[in-house]
Amino acid sequence: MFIKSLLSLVAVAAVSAVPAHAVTLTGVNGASASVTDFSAVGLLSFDIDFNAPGAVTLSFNIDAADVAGMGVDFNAVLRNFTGEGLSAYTLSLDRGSFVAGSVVRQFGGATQVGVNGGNATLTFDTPEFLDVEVGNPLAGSNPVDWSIDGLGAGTTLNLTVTAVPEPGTYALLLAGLGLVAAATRRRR
Amino acid sequence: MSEDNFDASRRGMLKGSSAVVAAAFAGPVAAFASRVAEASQCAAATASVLIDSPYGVTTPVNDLSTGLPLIQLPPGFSYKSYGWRGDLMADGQVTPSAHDGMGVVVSRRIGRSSEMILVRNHEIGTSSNPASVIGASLPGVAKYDTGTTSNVYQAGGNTNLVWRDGNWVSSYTSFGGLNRPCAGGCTSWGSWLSNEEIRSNSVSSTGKKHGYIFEVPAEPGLTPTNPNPIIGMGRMSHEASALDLATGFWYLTEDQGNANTLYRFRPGNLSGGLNSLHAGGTLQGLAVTGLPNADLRNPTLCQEYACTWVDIANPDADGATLASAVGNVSAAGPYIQAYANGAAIFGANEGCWVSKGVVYFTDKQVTTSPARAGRIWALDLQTMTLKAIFVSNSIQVGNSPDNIVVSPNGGVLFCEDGGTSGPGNTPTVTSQHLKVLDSSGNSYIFARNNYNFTRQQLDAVGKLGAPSGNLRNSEWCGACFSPDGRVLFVNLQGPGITLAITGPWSKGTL
Repeated sequence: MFIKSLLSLVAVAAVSAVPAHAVTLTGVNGASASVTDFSAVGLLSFDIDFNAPGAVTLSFNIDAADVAGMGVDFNAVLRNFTGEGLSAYTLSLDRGSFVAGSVVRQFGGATQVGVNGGNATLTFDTPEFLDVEVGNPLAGSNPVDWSIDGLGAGTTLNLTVTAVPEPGTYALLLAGLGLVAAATRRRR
Repeated sequence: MSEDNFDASRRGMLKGSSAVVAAAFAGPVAAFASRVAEASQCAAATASVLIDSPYGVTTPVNDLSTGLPLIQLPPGFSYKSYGWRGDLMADGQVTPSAHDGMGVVVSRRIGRSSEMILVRNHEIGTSSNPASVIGASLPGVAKYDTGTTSNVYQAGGNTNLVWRDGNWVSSYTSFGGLNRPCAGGCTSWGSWLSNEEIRSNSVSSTGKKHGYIFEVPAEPGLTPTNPNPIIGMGRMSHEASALDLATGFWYLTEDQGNANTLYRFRPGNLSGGLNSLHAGGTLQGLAVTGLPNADLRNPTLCQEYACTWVDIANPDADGATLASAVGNVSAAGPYIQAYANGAAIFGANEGCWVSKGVVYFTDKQVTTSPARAGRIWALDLQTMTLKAIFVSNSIQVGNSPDNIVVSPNGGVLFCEDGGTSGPGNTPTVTSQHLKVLDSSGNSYIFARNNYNFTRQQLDAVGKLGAPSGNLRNSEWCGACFSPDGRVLFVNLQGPGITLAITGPWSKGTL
């Protein structure tokens, strides 16, 4: 309930803060996460604080001014408060395609970036416990923003970001769910 | 003012800064809170034992900053070193030696960046060289005492460190003119208490005494450091100080062998804020109800005592020899008064932390006969029940537990500051550890000091001021977590290094 309220508040704040013509966050759905929007004209930009592994879908309105250039620039900070190590993040668009830029793991470590149209996977060589910068959200001197091509004016773009835990975590989660299911059956 | 009429508005102000911290990390902190109560549980026994770590066996891990295997950690953990003794700081000064107590005093978002400021003690005593005084060449850095005592200067002090977006950013001098600032504690308003560990009646050439607590702000450039001591918190061999956010009261430890108890300081100004503690208050010592001057050096695991507080009229009284129930002991003025009112007797108290209404503190005293190698106590502030939640009678189990911290996840971690001799010294102890207390009162190893390098190895990574040789038995100190529980900051005192460690905390109790 708290997270849902927080997400709603963030979304409303974002809508009221942006200029009349700009990428506009209109909705957030999914995993236990809080989202802060930093989008502007021609820039799709946000921070996600993941409190649990899973997917969160962000919906944006794209204005004519946003696509006046080659594409919409994209950056994000993905923060891991799940308490688990993450093996990857996946990013998925329902329209348009990614052009990859930088990925910076703040504490260190390598990332394999795979892009296939509107799908991108950031796979880590070691589990990620802290924060990851996609593009150049902190205005550093070296990182480069991503871009999203193929968007039309007046469209709604849905972008799903998934925090993928280490395989062992899934096994534990499934084992836990199995125990819960077994206990439920016994009670019946 | 009694505890009961501590009003909500004041409590809110005390928590103000912490609330700002928590707002950014509300999810994880809230989720982790429940384990704190577990730490004060235990299974009755004569003493604690060493158990296998849920994190796994430690192995040497290369530092991400230098590539050297400074410490051993369980699988999946990694770390970055910073602020080595001898490194040049942002203010042009060389990083002092003897890193000790440390705390995260600010945690905030600046734009989209996440930033923390830590204050670190340098437990340096005296020097005959005035240039050795921390901050000596920086007029803008506050200093308590620039005079001499028995012809030597008070050379200890503090440095502050900035951590931003998963990386060390800078460090700088923040306070000087202290004699052995050992441990301390975080306020909730963005400052650190730097505690002198010295029992002395001497007066320096500038008319200053030592053995006090001082307040160091996170950003002395914005909020100048008050160079005056917080006299109300006492003059003694201070160790740690810990704030109970619910009441605004402070809990203090003293490392004065066989002549110390746990202390409580009730500030006269409970609103908090920089310099609020300087306004004075009431200092008290812990006593066992109905058992004056109880000797608490040899409890069994889970042993409990009903306790009360006794008053100390003059926190600034001189020390003297005290004929106590355990013999003639050198005692600080505050303890002499507390003892006269029935205060308990501990071995050598060190670390102190308050979490969820429980004060955790360590007694690091090691003796062979009787066998004792450290105790950890938990004082429930609501019931005033004191419980021995860790009793080490072997240096394998716990080797002189010093600084202690309760993680945001509720786990209790302590820093070893022992040696190679003591009860249970076979097999030979080869390193000092970070150990974790489990819910039954036993311990497991989280990390080992692995510092053993040649001059050539250190020079090759630019650490020209770092000492060479085997310092694996040098103490760990200054352990503190980021408020979100994701990063453990800690010092290795002998080499003089600060570390930031992260990894799969959820696999264990931290």
